Amino acid sequence: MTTSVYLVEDDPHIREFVAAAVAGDPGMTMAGTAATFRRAVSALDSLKVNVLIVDLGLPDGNGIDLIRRAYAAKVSDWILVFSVLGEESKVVAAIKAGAQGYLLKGGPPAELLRAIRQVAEGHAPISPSIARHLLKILREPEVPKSGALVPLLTNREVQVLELIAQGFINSEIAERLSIAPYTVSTHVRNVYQKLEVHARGQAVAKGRDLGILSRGHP
Amino acid sequence: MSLAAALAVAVPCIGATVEIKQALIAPATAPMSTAPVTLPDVWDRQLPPRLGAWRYRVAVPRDALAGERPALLIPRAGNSFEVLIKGQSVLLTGRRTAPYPDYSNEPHLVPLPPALLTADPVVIELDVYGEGRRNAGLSAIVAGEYRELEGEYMRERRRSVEATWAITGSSLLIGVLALLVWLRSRDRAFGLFAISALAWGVRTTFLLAHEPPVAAAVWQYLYFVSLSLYLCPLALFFLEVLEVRANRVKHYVIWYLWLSFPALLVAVLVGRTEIRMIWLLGAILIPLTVFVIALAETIRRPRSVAIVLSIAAGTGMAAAARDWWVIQYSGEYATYTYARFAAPFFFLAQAWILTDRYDKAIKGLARLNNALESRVADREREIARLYAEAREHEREEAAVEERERIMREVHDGVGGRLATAAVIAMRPEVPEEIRDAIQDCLGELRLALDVSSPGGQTLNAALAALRHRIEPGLRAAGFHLGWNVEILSSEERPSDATMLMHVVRVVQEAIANAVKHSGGDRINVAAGFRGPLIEITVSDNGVRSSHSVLKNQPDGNGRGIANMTYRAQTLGGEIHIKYELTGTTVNLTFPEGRISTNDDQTHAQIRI
Repeated sequence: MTTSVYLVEDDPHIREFVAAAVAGDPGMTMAGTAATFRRAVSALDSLKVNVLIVDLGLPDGNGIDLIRRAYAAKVSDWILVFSVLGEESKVVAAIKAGAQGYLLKGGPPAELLRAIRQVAEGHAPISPSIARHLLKILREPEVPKSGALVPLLTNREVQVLELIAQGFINSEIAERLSIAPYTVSTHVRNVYQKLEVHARGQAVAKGRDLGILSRGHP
Repeated sequence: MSLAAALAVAVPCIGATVEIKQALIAPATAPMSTAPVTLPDVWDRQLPPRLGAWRYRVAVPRDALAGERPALLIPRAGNSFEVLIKGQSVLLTGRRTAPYPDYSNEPHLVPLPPALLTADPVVIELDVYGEGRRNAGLSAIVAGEYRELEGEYMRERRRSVEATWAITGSSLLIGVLALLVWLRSRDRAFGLFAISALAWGVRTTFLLAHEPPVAAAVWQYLYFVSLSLYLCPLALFFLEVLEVRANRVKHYVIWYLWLSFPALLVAVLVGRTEIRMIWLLGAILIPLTVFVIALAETIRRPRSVAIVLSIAAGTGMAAAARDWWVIQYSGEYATYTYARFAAPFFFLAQAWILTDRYDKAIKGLARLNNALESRVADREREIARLYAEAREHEREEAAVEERERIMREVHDGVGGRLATAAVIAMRPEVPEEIRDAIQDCLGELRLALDVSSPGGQTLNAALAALRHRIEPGLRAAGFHLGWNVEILSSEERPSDATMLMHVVRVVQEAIANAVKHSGGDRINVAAGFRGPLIEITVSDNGVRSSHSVLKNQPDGNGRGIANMTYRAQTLGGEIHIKYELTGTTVNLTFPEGRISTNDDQTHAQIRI
């Protein structure tokens, strides 16, 4: 079974490079590319792929909006941000919108393909600075209407993020916590999921406050 | 009875003067029906009371009036009276027709014309005109030389007239003062005292006014009522100042005051003394009760106010009791009443209270001012602190914003172009050096931005970022990177980005050297505390030439080492490199405080 990939990227050189790299991998197919936000949005209606890669710096629209729409329309199994630097603010914003990770631009083809393959296998790309950022924004328990404190992260998730933030890699973390390396990725994925749900919950609550959404129909 | 017989034993000598206490009296309507009388003769005390016009005849030894200026001292007579010798009027004080002006409250010194004093004894006639319940009568009189009598006359006059004027004046003045205080402060105590003092001031003028300015009945009514208007507010003032409840007493006083007006009106209209007597008995209860209350308060809670009021009330009571006794039982007539002089004690009490309250108010104000000042100072300090915090926060925000702006610029401009260039450089026709150079640029850019991440970076985070960026390359080059980094920094205390960069560059250089020169396959990075110092060790398992080991020098040109040494010095630390046959160890130590942020270094964070 091949992994289908769709790329939204305004730079023609990078589009070509990714297309060529994917075409050179027998396990992957390039389902298409879009150079603008508008063309990507119109393509979403009929799109069904495994991996959607979105560059945030589109000339005619916001990549985060595009991710949100793609996530809502369930056009792909995985959504990845295509980033030059992988800076935490943009990556986390994308994860909140529904992305599952990020890909770095400018690396050699093998690195790119490996990253796509890993994501498709269930790995969650993360960097120490992203882990640190997540700890900062998700560690504080939130207070729902019932008044009880609900920790957003489990103790294990906090441990995993802390070790990542200190520079340890998955295999080292797995060894330290006596878990399987894959489980480390599972924890990260769960954190991403919580981040998205948390962001959506906040959006819903805000919508309610503004009277956009009626109560009982979230 | 003959005049000589009547006066036979009644001429005691006082130096050159003679006091005359015996007289013959006859009504003006029947001058022949004389009767002996002892002076003083108080009309209201006679049964039935004397009214209208009565003639007294006294005999004065010729010797007493033989000087240059013979005179007669009459301490008290009236209401009006006339002095006659041999049927000739020597002095008429007041009027012979009713209503008689009242001159009975002051002494009189009457010079006698020597031409008329030829007989021995000299017979002097005193026609006295008086009305009921107006203290009419005649006191004992003194005959002698004017010079001799003048001193006594002046003394009497000072006591009965001038002192009374002083009381009247001060009562009205204090009353007006209290009224003004009440108008400003609306303090009930001062309002009550104002009524009382003004009433007393008016009442004492009754003693001084000769001719009633209004109809006699109205005059009398006002005189009666003035006592209630004086006594009742004064009693309420006392209770108010003493802060006692005593509601029954207060009710009694208030009822007494309001009932005074109709009751005394009736007394004046029907002319019954009994009503006034009952009324006066009711009045006695008031000062008595207040005095007892003030005394009890003084004993219960000895405060200056209670003590002063007790003394004032006690003095007033004593004066009133003395007057009562004198008027009712002593038979004295010439004496003046003391009660009028109790008023100054009340004024003193009031002044005391006023001073006390003023003092309390001033002290209260001072306390309030102090409290306010300290609160204002606190608030100012707080504002200054908040301002400083806000400025610091603004500066930090500006720094963060600026860093983000630079990162955005770098990312969108340089980063995007570099990524494109890197992709283009992947083409086979592009020389490998260019491809590597661009990849290096991209890696450096990523590392630089990681270390200067918004919100401040820590040493652990910076080292972690370094590892994250170089790990894939190391793995691709066949190296295994060991990582033994302890927790060196706290999230609460971000480090200075410039200093962090020095640390990161030293570690990066050491790792790069290991990759380039060691020939091994394992690199280990360890970091931890050594006393107050942070120690970072980069070691490899490479095999160095015996030359390096013997000389403890690098295989290459050593420019990288010079760089590392410079950075270590900037960090206030040291770098030691040990070349051994089993590998090379680069050891960096520096004080922990060197990488922490302070105010001067905040700006440095935006320099990446």
